[in-house]
Amino acid sequence: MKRKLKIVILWVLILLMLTGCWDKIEIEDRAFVMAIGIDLSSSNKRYVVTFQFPNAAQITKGTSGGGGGSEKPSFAVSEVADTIFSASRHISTRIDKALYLGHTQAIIFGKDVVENKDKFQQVLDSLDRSYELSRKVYLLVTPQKAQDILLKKYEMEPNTGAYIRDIFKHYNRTSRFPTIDYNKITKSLHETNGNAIIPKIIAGKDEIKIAGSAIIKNYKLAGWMEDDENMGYMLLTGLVKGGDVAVSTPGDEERIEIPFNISNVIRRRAVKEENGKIIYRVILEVEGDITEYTFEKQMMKGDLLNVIERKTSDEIKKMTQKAINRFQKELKVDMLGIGDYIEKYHPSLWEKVGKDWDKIFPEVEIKVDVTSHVRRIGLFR
Amino acid sequence: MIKNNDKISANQVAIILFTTMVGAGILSLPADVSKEVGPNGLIAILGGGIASLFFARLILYLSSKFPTETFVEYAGKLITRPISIVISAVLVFYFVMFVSLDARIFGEVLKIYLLPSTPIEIIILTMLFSSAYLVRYGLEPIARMSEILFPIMVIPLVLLFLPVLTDVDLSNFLPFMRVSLIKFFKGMLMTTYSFVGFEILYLLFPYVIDRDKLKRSVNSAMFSTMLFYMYITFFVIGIFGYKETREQLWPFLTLIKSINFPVFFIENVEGIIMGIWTFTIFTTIYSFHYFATLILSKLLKAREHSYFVLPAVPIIYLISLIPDSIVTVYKYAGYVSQYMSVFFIAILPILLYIILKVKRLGGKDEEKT
Amino acid sequence: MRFFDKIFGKKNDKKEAKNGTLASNSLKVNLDYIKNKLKDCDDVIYRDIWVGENQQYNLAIVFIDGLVDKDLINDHVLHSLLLDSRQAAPSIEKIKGNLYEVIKKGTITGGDIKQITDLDKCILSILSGDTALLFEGSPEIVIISSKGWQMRSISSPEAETAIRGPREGFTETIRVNTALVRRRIRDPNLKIKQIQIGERTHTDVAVLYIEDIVDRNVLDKVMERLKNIKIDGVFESGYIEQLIEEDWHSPFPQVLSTERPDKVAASLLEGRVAILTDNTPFALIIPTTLATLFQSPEDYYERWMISSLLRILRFLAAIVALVSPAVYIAFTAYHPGLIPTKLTLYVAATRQGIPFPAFFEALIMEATFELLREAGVRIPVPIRQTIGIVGGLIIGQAAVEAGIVSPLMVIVVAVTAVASFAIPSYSAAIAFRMLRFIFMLLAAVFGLYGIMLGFMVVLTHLVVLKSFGVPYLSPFVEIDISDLADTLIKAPLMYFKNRPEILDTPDRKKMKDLREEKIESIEDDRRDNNDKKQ
Repeated sequence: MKRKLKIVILWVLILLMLTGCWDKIEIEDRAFVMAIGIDLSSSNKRYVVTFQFPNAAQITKGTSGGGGGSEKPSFAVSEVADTIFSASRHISTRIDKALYLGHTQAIIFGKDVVENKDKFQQVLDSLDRSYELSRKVYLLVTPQKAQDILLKKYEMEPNTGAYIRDIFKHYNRTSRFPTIDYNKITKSLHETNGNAIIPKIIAGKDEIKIAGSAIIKNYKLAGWMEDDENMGYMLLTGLVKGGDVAVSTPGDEERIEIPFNISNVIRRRAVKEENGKIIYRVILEVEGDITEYTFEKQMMKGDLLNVIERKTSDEIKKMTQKAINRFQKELKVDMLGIGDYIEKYHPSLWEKVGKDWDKIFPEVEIKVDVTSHVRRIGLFR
Repeated sequence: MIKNNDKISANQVAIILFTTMVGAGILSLPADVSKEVGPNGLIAILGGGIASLFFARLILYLSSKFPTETFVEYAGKLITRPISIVISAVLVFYFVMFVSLDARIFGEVLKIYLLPSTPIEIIILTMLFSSAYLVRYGLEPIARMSEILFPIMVIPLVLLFLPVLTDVDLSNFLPFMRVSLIKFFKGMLMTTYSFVGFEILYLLFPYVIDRDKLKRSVNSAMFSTMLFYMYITFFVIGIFGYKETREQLWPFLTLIKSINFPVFFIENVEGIIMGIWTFTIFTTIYSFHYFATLILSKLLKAREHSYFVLPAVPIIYLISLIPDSIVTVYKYAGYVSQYMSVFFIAILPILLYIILKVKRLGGKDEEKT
Repeated sequence: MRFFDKIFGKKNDKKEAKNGTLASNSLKVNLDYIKNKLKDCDDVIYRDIWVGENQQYNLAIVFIDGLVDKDLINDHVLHSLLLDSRQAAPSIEKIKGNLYEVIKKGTITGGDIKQITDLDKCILSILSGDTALLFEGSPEIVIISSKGWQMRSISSPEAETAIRGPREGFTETIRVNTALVRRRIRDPNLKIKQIQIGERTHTDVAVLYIEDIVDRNVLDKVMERLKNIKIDGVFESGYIEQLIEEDWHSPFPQVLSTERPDKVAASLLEGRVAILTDNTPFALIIPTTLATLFQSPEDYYERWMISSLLRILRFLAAIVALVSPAVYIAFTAYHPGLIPTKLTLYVAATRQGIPFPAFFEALIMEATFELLREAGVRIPVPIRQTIGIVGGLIIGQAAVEAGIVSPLMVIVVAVTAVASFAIPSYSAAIAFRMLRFIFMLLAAVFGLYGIMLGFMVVLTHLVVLKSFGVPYLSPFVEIDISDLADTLIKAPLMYFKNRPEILDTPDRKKMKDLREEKIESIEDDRRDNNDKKQ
């Protein structure tokens, strides 16, 4: 009798549980959001959130047949709401699928969001706290409206989110935008109380371009960085994995631009205190290849390589100087990791200056020494 | 019911110790130590580990003086019977609290990462019932289960972190040891929640076959646990830095989400980790569950501990639902680990040791130096 | 054992009291008794003989047509009795009063004879294929072994083929089987104890073990449980398997069944016990652990590296067979975030328009596959090949094109089916097949957590399970490195010095450290060569 009772109870429990399947959503009923765009509404009080997700049915048809046809390869829907996630809830009134954010590849902030300190902080917090969002999303800022970027369909890759992610995957070809992912951005924001660099994205007619970056100071947009400054910044912070520097040398008729293709950068740092002033030295050793020259002249002759190396070093130094000026003189915010370095490697010095770092930073003397080495010149002499 | 003779080997003791200790602690450990000692979390864990080793050996020593009795029985000889009964009852409550807390944390994590809409009650109940199913069979199956789950828990975790090695920034561990001693001890205190588990040494002694190897087992178990925690914390702090780590609730899991495993097509190792983590919690829960019922059975002089296993489930379940939110859960966890744990791990053994020496009690000296 | 008594106790009292009926001196009385008992059995042959110089002594032989070797009876019994005895008749004094002795000792030229006085035992012998020789004037009956029925010749074992290895499999006659084992182990310590089980079938069952190696605990348990079996009939070793197992509720077999004599012989050398049953080619090996279910005798005959890889493959196959559909369900319906993005989109795309949720889809496909498999067993041979291929692929393909299931599902199901065939032991494969459905159900309700729950419960069951005192999951539990060498991988033969630790055998060492010997012999060769050169 006792045994039977146990079995009955067991069965009842099992049956009760079977009524559940609380979380089951069939995969075809989900909308996998690939990219999210966040702007502020015209009254600046609410958010306009855009979700871009691919048209799942289209994917296999595309591979088996030829081109798509009349079907749209991806959808983008916008919603206006008070907070980010209420937007995703409200959208369910219009979309028949359940939004799923676990595969989101990129989040784009419109310019107006980054200019508004409170809103930006709120957005960041909701991203941080979210459990559905993966930490591998890429954050981007656009000077336009994020909605505009996402609502367009791009021929190259209709799935905008994947498009953005793939651009990041090949980042080591160029140093035109900083290779910063979500982790680094939030880390920087937390540690420096609101300073970070976020890559910039703009939409062309039929494609998107990621180049340059936005400077965030105290959770507000403080400016944009373009090409050279960007590269200088990356060199100083050790983020460079590739890129090119154009060096000009005298040629027969005009000056020739020789591209120095960076393959490796070794960065060393040192800090000294002299006469109450802090001197921060960055020593860069750059290695690279030469990929273009004039057809006739030979490279292995004479002093040419040394000349190129010297000129490259100069160019690089100029770039870093631009970045330094930007941060030190113009914005007065330490994004170069100097404070971080001092705190870690010279803690006694940090104890002295740490509290007033914001004031001391603009006075720091930053010296950059660059040496370049040409390692390879291609297949030709 | 297949009878087991409840005899286990010293090797199995080491494994049981390890799997019991490694439980819910790994989730929050890096955050807790970062809060107190900043980038020196690793050292704090090292300190905590050594201290735990010391106390574990102390408890082992105490138990070895009474080779055929568990704590419930021999405590009465050292401190008077009534007090020992009270302390044993508190020990039961202590173990039950841990099961409840761990079950609750497990439910919370699962709800966030895997099953958002499933009622947490169901998650906790299923886990508790599985534990009850195993615990009813006694100590031997528990030892075997731990033996099987141990490599499954450890090896994938160790291997999965390796690709992240390149992203680790060693400078995140500087500045080195520029923290006050008080803070450091506080940091060590934070690690207690993660090292809780070796109190079972109060009860294990009579069931072990090769007792002379027990010292080595305890050593290896404590060291392995400590190394394991250090390994994980190394990666967390190495990638996030201490400032970011202390902001997060479960830095371990956030780290998992960030790992990119490019080799195989598996982008997300999250799934595997969640599965393995289920086993980790399972080993902790069933161990405490068993020992709680064991003490109960000894206190109430029952023949079989299995009578108490099922009735314990609803009690644990109800307790686990008491805290409102994860915030209160950790508050309670803090109380329990900082007050009760310290008592059982540190204060009580020292007290008993002193009384032991004073009264010169105990059986033949089991220790071979 | 108490619980066995409870089950079989009712049958206990019926057959117990038979003590047997003693034969009388009168031939007629004895014959009548036999004829009465074997009434309406028209295959029983009775032959009266008169022997002696003047044919004065009356004898009778009784046998069953079809069970006996007629040549033996004709040549050795009848011929000797009728003709030879006349030619070489002993003196009358010797014969008088002791005809029986004379004949038994001197006349019958058949090899295997014994004498009994119990008529019921006599009938039992006749029913087993022996010939009974009854005498006038003596209660002694001579039983001549004359078994010679039609049987299947030794052929290759159907269920366990191997690429390398002997192609002999057991047959349905127990004597042939014991011979197959004897040929492989020519050790006087190989003991074969025979008992009869089954109240009505009296089936011969032989227990084989090697005396100085066997684990005594296991052996005693086996004998005890065999003796306690009280059942009507035993037709296959499967009956015995179920009756002596400890936990018959478990889906996992605690006894290994095999058709291969080499497997039996190898197990005996490890200290295990084997049981052979008449009328079935399947022998039982006791005790068994989960690890032995994954071993195939080929592993020992081939090179160790390939064997190790194959073993690992088999373990993975078992996991795949167990959990694939469940994983599919869990990840598509519950946690799409855990699979790579491209795969997610692909799966979502392929599942557009499928009318069933993933769980039902999986269930339907799996059930269909099981149906096909079961049907395939009974299909007449000419069509069997076609159905196998037709069923699997074409039905699956048709289902996909009809839009009922997604192509990925078909692949998952096919892979599962193939994987379950990779497990050497059929009974173990069945266990995984059954459990697969439970995992699917758990995955459908709880997603990934359900699969973990399934593992926890199944592992608990396995951890508790014991096969005759040996924990089922040895050597993964109570870890002994030396045993592990034969489980996950297959270490070279050189490393197997000792018998398995899990069995408590008296004689541990089974092989001298061959490595040392091998090195020694190489050294010797080298020295010899050097000497020759000089």
